[in-house]
Amino acid sequence: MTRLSLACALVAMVVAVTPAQQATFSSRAFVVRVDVLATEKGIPVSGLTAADFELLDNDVPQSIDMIDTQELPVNAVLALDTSESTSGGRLVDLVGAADALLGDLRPAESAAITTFSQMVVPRVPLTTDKDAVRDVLRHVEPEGNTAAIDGAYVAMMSALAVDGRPLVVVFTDGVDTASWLRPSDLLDAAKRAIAVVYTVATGDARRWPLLQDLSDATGGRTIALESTRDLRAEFRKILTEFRSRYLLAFTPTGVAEKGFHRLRVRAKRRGITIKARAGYSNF
Amino acid sequence: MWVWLWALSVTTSFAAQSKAQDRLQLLDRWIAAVAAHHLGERDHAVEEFAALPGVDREPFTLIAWKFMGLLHDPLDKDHRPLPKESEDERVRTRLLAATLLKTTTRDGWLHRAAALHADVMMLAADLTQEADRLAPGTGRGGPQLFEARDGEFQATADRNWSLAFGRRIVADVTSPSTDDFVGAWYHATSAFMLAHGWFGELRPHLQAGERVRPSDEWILFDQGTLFEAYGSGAVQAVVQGAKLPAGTRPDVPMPTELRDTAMGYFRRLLSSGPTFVEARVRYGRLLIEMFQYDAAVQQFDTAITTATDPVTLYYAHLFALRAEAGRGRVAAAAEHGRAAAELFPTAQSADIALSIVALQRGDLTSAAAPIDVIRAMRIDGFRDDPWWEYFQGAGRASQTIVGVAWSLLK
Repeated sequence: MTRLSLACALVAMVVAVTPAQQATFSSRAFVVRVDVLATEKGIPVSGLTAADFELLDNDVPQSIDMIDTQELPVNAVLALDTSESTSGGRLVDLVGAADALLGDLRPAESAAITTFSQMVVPRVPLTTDKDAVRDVLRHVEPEGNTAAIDGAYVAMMSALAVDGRPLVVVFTDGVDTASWLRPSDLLDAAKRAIAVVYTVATGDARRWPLLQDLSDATGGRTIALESTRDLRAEFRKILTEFRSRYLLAFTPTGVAEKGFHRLRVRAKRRGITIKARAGYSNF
Repeated sequence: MWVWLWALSVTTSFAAQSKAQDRLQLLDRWIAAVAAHHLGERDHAVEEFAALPGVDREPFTLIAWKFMGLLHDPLDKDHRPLPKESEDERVRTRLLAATLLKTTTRDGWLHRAAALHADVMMLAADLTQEADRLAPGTGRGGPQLFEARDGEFQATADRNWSLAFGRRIVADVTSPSTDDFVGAWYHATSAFMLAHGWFGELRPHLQAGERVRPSDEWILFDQGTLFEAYGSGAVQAVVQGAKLPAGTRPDVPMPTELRDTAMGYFRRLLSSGPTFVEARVRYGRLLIEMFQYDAAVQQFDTAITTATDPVTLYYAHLFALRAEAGRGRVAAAAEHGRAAAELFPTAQSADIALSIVALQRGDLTSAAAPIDVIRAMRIDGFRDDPWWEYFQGAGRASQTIVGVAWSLLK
């Protein structure tokens, strides 16, 4: 088991996200990437190697490699609730938190922003120009209902087929009131997308199980906040935690080609908790 | 003790005299307001009765019923005295009724009175709420409605007394089940409430309407729409997630009951009026919820060939996309998505629907393209997405419907 180079990782990702006819197991290498968070007593564990993990694809053990994430830029897509209920202090805190996360990104790393009320607006596509994202944040006006499901979906799609490590941060303070998509649509899309989704909830959204389901499906985490006072620190923690994750890669062997593949990732060392996406879809 | 009884006796006598006078004044003001009111305008008549204090509503209601009874029975043969009614009050009330009937018909006047109270409800609810706030739950044992915004609980409120009063007026016309204006009145008031999300008020309203007009197409349609709306994200967010006052809960049936009830109304409507295209589309959407995709597609196919209204056609295509995707026919689903997007190019629901259908078949390029379409729309630009108004049903055309109703009186 070896560490893959950056170039190889990029090729692997392109293969994994290209259309169905190219994503076959037999004719060319099909590499699946799995973003993994390893924690011990809630604290990220560093220094692990591929040998420390065990990965099962539809219950079949796989041979895994580890990609060097230090050389792989983070693509942070923010999906922010700007419905009427975020008016006032919540929005101020939210803008501050987003600004802090942008500030922690490295120059070569990218950010994008999608806002949603009932209207979903993918305002800035992935760009290394963080000021362009900041400029949008300064002009957000809260209004309307909450199409959080549609907003999260559009954000996940914005992270598709772009080189790098996609991180989607969804913030909402309310339960969905306006989306076209159903919760099951979003979870289905999450299984097909490659992004790790962190959901941040305050207000009534803290009691919304879909946010947890979405995070679980993508190997992310849900953060429930009493108020938005600590939002800035939480957004920064998300990025720090994301950087501490491991990126495993494997070429599926001994499993059927098509359909949804259930994944299970375990640490060989006792006491380590693993969070990883629940599976992947091969079209 | 003795002194207290005496005081009570004097006070009661004074109160009775005072009430009698107040009641007649209230009746005079009412008759004048009905005559003076410009339909559809928030004029003095509307504001006067919207702001009627809670304490005046009971005496007003009493004398108003007495008065309407006299419009039926001008000679007061079936005389039922009001509590503490004086001879002067009895005579003057009869005189007012007799005078009114010299210049207008009974039903004609009741129509105008009902229109006034509908306008009070639609145009000046803020004043009524302010009066309620000063005397909450007057005569009805406390607040009865939750107010929520974007899924979050805001406040409790009383039911709108003027609306309930209007219902009693229209029930008093000679033959409400065949009276065109009564149908139009229910349609107008219901459309307004659907447009503004007044679902708590609407339920007893439509129940009353259905009792009075059991075969009214619009009442059946609005009933179906209301039960659909109860299952919408906006309502379920409150039912399932909102932090409500202790010891309270929204009076909303379970989702399966909502769906079955809504389907029942649309089925009744389609059996009596098979050309009611939007009812067919809504029925089809509910079939999707039951995973009956084949049956749903049949409904949408019929609707698409008969719909003339672009919004209804949009819904038919959008839901047909979902039904076809459910059947695994992704190419047919995408066709419907494209048809919907052509009808309303700035509707994000069609683009998102197209994207997810492409994603489901593994075509990531096609899944990303509709997102680019949404991105290309101007951030501050106008977006016309009929999905956002789906649960409003007839409320989408509320202003027009109210205008049509009031035009019957001009």
